Amino acid sequence: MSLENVVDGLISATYLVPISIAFCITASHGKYLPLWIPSLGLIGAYFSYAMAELMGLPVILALIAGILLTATVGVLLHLILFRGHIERGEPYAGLLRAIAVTVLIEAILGWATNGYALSYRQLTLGWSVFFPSLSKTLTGADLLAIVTALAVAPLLVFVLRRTWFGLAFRSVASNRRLAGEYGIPLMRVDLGVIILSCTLSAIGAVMYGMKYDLSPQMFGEPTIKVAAAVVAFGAERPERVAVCILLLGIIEAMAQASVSAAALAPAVGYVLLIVAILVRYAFPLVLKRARA
Amino acid sequence: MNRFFLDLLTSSLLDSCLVSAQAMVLNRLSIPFAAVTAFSGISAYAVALTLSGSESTSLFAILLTIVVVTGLSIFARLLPQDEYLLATLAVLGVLRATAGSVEGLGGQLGLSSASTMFPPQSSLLFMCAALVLFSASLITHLLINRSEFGLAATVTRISRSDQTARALVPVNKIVFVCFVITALTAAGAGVLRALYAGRVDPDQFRIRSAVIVLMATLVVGYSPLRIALLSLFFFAFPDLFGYLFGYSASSLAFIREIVWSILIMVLVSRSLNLRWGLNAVTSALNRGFR
Repeated sequence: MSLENVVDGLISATYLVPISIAFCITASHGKYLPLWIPSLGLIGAYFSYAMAELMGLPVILALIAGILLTATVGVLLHLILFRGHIERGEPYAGLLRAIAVTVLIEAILGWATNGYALSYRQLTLGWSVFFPSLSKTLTGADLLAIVTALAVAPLLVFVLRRTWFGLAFRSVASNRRLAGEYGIPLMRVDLGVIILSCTLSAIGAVMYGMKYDLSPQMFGEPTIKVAAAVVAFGAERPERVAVCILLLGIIEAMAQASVSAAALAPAVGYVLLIVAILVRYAFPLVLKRARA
Repeated sequence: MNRFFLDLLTSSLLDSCLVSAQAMVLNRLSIPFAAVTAFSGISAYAVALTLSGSESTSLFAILLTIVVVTGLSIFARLLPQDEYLLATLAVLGVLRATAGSVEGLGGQLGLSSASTMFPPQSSLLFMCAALVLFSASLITHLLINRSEFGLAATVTRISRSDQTARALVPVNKIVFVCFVITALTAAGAGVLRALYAGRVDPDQFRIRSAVIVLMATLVVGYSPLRIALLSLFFFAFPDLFGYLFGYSASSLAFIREIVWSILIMVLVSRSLNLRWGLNAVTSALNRGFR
């Protein structure tokens, strides 16, 4: 295990921190696995690409346009498809629709681009910094991802634990019906959660596209990794999920550095997901039945 | 007959076999199983290894399949539906990574599964074999629909939400039997595909492929007529339409996925479940055919 592997893994994992936090917020609020949230960010990333690269809009405006579009589409999808399942407590139906939405978004983007990957030219941070102690050059995108991850997680913890919105969110997440009876505006909380998640998802997708280029299925494997971390540590603990994502990144980087284990690197997230599901759901039930 | 149509029919029939196999568990028992390609992939690799001289792998593949079937049927009753669905997809991910990392399985490049007895790309031969397998799977559905086992499977499905129904039928045995039927059908499709293509690789276990099969399965129900018509249409549409009208098959595949995912989004709701609406349509079709 070398420091370079650890740094590589950490850097690649920081790109997923905003998306994992968005996933946590939505999962905690709706009590289902929102596999559609990372794919939704792709809409913002592709729209920003179109605005900046094809229409020549200034970068900041292109990014804002992408985020606004993602938030709008996210709110519409939530109101039309997922709100009913959240209110009735139907996680499986929500998951099926989430898978359908993911396939829909990937198919639309694939059809629009003929399946080819797109590279940002305007939306890139061209500068880089060499760190002699790490023997590593970090690009502008890497530094942005690190700064975003370091800023987003504590900010979110502050919002969720010290603000009215955070209190309302936690109330709705723990008991939606009771929160509604006590006068918490459910629709406003719902929309706030979706808009926040979509914003984080769009930011994450743009950063991920800066590093790895945009492709319709670029969040296929990362989504499973994020889902694994959420199942393992619970959607109510976004800070733990973020740390888990970083650790997964380190483990994968170390596996990839080994010639014999390189091809097993993608399996780390899947194994974590299976183990987490068994530990959280199956084994307690088996133990309970054994005691009975 | 035109070779293109034979190849198209062969690949569509083999994919439809997977849909028919998965429908046995997903639609008939409401068990959110999405890893039918695991069985086809294991059997495909078993064929490739057997053809390369390693006969003992057949026994290992059978044992592995039994273990997987047993595990899936046990955990189907223990896990919540959404977690179970994710777990089955994760199993595919692990299988793909394993197949891609083990040198004996050919790594990322895979293995040759060409047979001298059944030469690859023998369109007519494999089309007939695929047709026989698909027909057998449809007849299985038909026989189950008209048998006591079918009634017991319906009660098993109901027992998921109604605990009193559990006492009426041996739920665990029925789930296991359905999984065995699923595994056998999918394994048959995997063997035929491996021999037809002449090569197997870790993409047998691609999660994306499993999701596409899942989406097709969600709509077809367990009526043999509906499985036959909808699954064949689903898989044949892009290439057939592209051949007949000159459109790009890959673009048509995207359009197919767009339409199908919208259909699933519309049908997955409390008031209009997947099977209610289509049952009405196929009942009318059945009455018309009689």
